[in-house]
Amino acid sequence: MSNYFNRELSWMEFNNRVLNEAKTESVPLLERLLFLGITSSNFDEFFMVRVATTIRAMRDNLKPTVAQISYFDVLNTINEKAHEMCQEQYRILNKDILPKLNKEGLQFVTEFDEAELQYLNTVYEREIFSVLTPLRIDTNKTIHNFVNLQMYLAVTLDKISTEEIEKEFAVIPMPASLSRLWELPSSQGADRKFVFLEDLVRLFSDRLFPGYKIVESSCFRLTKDADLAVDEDDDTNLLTAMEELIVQRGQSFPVRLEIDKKSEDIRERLKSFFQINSAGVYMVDGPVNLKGLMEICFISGYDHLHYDSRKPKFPRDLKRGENIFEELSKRDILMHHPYESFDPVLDLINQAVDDPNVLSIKMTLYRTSGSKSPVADALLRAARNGKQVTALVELKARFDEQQNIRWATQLEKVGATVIYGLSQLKVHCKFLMVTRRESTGVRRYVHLGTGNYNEKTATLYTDMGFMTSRDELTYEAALFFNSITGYSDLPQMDYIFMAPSTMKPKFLQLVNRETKIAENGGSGAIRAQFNSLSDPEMIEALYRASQAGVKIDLNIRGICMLKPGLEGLSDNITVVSVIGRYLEHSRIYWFSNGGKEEMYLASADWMSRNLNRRVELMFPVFEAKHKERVKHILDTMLSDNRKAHILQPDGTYVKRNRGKNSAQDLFYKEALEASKEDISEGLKVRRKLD
Amino acid sequence: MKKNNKLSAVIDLGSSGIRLLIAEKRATKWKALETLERKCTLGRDVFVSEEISEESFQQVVEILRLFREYIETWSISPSKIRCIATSAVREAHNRDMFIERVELQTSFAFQVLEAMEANLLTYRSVDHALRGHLRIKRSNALIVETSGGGTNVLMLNKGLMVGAHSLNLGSIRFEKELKSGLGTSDYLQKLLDQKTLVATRQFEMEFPLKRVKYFVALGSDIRRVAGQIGEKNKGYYLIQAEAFVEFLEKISGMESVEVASEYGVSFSESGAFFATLQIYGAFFKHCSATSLIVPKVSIREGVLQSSKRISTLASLEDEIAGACYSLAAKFGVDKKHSDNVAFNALKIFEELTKTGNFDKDHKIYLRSAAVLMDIGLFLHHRHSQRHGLYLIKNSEIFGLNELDRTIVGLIVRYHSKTRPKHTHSEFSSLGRSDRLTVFKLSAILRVARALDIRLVQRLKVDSVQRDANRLQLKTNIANISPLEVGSLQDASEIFQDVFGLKIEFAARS
Repeated sequence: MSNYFNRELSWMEFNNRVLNEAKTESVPLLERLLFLGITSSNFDEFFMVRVATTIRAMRDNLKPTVAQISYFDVLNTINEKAHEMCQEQYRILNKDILPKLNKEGLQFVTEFDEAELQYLNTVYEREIFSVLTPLRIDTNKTIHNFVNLQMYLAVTLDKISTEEIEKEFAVIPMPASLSRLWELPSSQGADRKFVFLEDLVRLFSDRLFPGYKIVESSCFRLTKDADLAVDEDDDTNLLTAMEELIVQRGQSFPVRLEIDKKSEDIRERLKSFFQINSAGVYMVDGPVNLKGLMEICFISGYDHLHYDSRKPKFPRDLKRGENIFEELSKRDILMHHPYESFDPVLDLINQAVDDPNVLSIKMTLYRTSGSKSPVADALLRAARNGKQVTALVELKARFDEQQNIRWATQLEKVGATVIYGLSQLKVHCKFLMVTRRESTGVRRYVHLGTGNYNEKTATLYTDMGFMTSRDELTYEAALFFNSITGYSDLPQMDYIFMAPSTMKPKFLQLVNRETKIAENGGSGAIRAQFNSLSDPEMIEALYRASQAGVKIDLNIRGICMLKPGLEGLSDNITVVSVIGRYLEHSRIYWFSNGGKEEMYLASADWMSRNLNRRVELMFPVFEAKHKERVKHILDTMLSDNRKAHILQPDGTYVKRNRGKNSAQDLFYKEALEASKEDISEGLKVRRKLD
Repeated sequence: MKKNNKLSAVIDLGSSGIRLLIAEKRATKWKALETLERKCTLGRDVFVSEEISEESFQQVVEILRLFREYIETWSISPSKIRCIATSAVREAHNRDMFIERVELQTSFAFQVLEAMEANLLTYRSVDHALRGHLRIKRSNALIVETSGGGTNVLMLNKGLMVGAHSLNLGSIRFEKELKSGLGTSDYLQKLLDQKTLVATRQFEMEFPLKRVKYFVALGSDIRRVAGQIGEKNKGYYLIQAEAFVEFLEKISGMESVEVASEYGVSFSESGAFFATLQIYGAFFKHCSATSLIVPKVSIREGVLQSSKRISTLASLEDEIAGACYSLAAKFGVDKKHSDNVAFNALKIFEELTKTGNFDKDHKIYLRSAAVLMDIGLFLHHRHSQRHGLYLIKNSEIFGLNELDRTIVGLIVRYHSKTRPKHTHSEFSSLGRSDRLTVFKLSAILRVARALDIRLVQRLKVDSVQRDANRLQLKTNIANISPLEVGSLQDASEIFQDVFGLKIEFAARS
């Protein structure tokens, strides 16, 4: 038997934990609906990338991975489990959430009275009809005409003029520009009624096919393989290569067909047209693509159906209104998002943009927050203000390519130096450096983090951010940036560890050091929090450590290929996974080192992908009070007994005995308390300003 | 953007890479702000074909353009950019053409360093990095810097520079062996042992290596290792002897791919990385040091410490004297005699400092020449000064570059019977001011030597009195012998020609 869980099946377990939140009674109703949507959205990416990869591996007859399960078996198990979960999703929706929403006065309707029909008719004619483009499905059409993950309404048609029934087949793409939900007018105090776009189109679909009668209709969505690799050997222009990829993505093979149960005939026609087998067809008992329901979660007036409102507090290491450069000259600043606000990072960038003493701003942009990203906007202003702006824009951030290409082009136009990632490696680290001329000489200010420069996700994901002007760290940060921007080869660094070169050896060294300590009679201990564990070498090192007696407590939100608690192999390893209101995204690594604790923050998980094929960054926590705080965060997460699930030796997860210790709630309370105190008085001044 | 005058940049064109250092002057110290490094293949070209290929030239130009772009982001004044080239360019037959073309294409004017100048810069950078942390300067220390092209070794005996050598012992030079399949770790180790043995035998003549307390290792490969197995200290790493030996054993048993992945070097460089570390190991095992000190500096920091002319000798007076004594000892020079001559020569020199238009470098030339004046006797008493010139010119003397050694050699050459002549090629190839230096200092040395005609170090000049036409030497003893008086008279003729002053013993009252 293999010592590893299969990666894809472990991911399925993760998504199942997300789905569990959707059925947890104590979670507010609209948040449960959101979890349902997240489960669906997670599946979209999983099918596009992982399932597609598994299918390709099976077709290519590749050898199984370390978990020793054939790709065929993996695919079968995925399908089996995904079908179960799909059924469960719709069961929760139909039997639990929708009836409860109904009671709250929110209804999704398919039947209408006269007045409503008249209203919908007007809406259809004015806003919808003109953007619909029906397509007849005939032999000239291929799968390439179908856009990945787009909703379609398929119809079978009967020509009215002929007597014999000769069904024709057509599809109507649901334009992405149109809202998925349309609200019907209602009097004040009455229930609010919503209709799905596809139902609205269905209602008037015969108008699209004059001379035909609609026989049957079904709504469906196709998921295609999205994991086409860029030809990175030819990296003369990565920008062009990425643009080509986006075009190519429209030309890949189908991996999943989601379709409602309204027409068996249509289902069979599509199955045969797309050449997809039954296992890949997901018949849903309700609206296709539950992600679309998430729109309703954002309508106003239903606060009681949401989590209590929590505004991120200003970080405890800072006081609002302080000059960030002055404060950073005195001390390091540690931030725990989303309990603490992301604003200081934006402040650092904005102050740098307008500060005449600032010489340059350098940063990585991986996933920004959309068309109005304040980070990218500030960089544009800085370049216009004559600052040296260097941005490493990662074009390979999956599904954000278009966004990033747009920014890259804009930045270049205003004179910034834009570097389009590294060939073969995705730049995943989060790095910002401001260089400023001061009376004592040039000083650099650096922000390093575990999360993206995205102020929106900074309110939804838990992440750690660190700002410093320490020479030893800022010097190495500069070396690091020069190496990823191509100005320099990778130099020797003492404090910052970088994937794919020094980070993995460092992690292995740290784990092995604990093993050695335990073997020599000491007490070795490792605690860590990160998103996924799938690197075989790291797992082997952890097994060896466990066997030597090192106590290992891991908090891994997603994939975990390590089998914990197996006698003689991993007795001393426990793995928990916390799924809660916020997406756990911090990467924290703690090593007891015989009492001289060492801890690191990083942008990387213990995944081969992160450690071997991405540019990632890991840095130490320096100050004692920050070490104490980071350790507290780790320990609190590990002892959560409200949202934590414990990984069992068989790969399943069991929710920890229901208690009251929700780590995420506690962190917010702490941030709230800290924001009430003026703690800046007590902060240790490391350096005096000149 | 306004130029920042506190910033300087140094570009170092090495055999395996081109490096850029951007530093800022803060009070008296330099602070490194940025270090960039890009690999290049100059060494591979030169050590195999003795020429820099067109392909390498293009590669160098491309990297330098990238560095130019980077330097511009810092608004560094062009006068604050120093560019040096080391062994690979130095040894290339087409070096002049190469330097010229590089300048035309990149506007960077490179100065090709002599081996000894590189040694000097290494020493300066080590001194800068360790000042205030370790008392290297007053100890027995071996400083070893190994790169792709060669190895520089400096030996300090209680702070005196007793040896400085640049050896053709560089990892790139072993590539042929590594590539031909002979490069198994055993074979390579034997080859290195043999080569280092020859060198260490030579070192032993200057200083017993067993007395080396501090082993200082410089170079990017040893720094990479120090970062992983050493202790971090301010300005340097410390690798304990056992840890280093254990490390060398470990990499001996590793495949190239393992070395590459564990130590963050590329697969193609793992062989050179292995060879470089074995070179350190080969020297280290001859010393009794308990640890290796790996300063966080390079030759580039040394450049920042230097003025435009690399060999500003004044700050290295003691080190250069140490190196001259060491060389003199190797050739069996009578130290008492040369010390006496040096002492008296410097007394006269001091009095002439103002009118002779002398500076501190001249003093070092004179002292060095005094210490080395009899070195040629080792070969033969006939034409011993001519032999002296040859030996000085062709020896490695720490702190003295080729020009310096030529000047010192010519002072020795002309301090006895022969006078400088324009038919002498070494002399005539000098510039006017250097020719004058030789004239003046050989005249002083000639006088000082004349004072110890009896070779018993009887006379010591206490003071020098001067009037419009005369220079009178007041000595420690009154009864000057006729031999000594005659000797001074013989030597004074040239002195008078050069300085316009008659030199004689002061009358005793």
